[in-house]
Amino acid sequence: MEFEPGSAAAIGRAMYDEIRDEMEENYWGWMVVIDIHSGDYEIGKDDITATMRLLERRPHAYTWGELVGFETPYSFNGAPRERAPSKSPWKRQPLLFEWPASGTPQEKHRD
Amino acid sequence: MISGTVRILGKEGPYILWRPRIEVAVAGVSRDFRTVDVAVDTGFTGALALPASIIQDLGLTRHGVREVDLAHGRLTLPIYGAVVSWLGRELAATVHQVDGDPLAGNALLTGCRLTVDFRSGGSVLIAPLPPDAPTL
Repeated sequence: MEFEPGSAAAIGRAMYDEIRDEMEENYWGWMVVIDIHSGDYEIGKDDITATMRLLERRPHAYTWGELVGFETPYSFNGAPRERAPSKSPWKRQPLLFEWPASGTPQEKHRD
Repeated sequence: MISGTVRILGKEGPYILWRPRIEVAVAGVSRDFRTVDVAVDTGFTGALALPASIIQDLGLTRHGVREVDLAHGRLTLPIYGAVVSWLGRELAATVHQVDGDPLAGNALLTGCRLTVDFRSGGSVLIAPLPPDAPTL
């Protein structure tokens, strides 16, 4: 079954909101892929890894993706924007990559 | 090594749009590889972005939707699974369905050295990152 992109996004976002706090605490910078039929999800270092693992288990999955800690998983504009933490204090976990000490590109241009 | 050329895409107002372009072989589950002419776009964080017509020709499988950040707002785009022949290896990659120029982005370029002679007809080279490449 296929969804309209808009309704798939609404369902996916609502499902991710339920697990967001746990994800942001433990998997900052990782990719979460959710099957919006079943609510089943996979975590991976990139989108295709998580998606393929989810598809092995759920061959008919229709997926929504979230990059943990960012507003969108992808950008056509350089880099996805970092999201404000939903829970404080925000413990940032060890990353896959570190921004240079001068801060994220978003922080530099925020003022 | 992957090679291509810098070519003119067209004009946008007074600007001439130059794009470094390469050809990549892409296939769906049938593994029937076809070459696609794509522009190298280091502003795109995904692997490939292709128009609907090419996606249909390749017979890619739709996996869902993903949200993308644009210079002005956001968009939810359909995504597909594909196999890309990249530097002698076959990689699984996500393909975003877009309107417009096909793109190859950062997810493919990661770990590669990209060299562009930025003038009309200039050469575009993509090679694996050499072991002596400087780090941050």
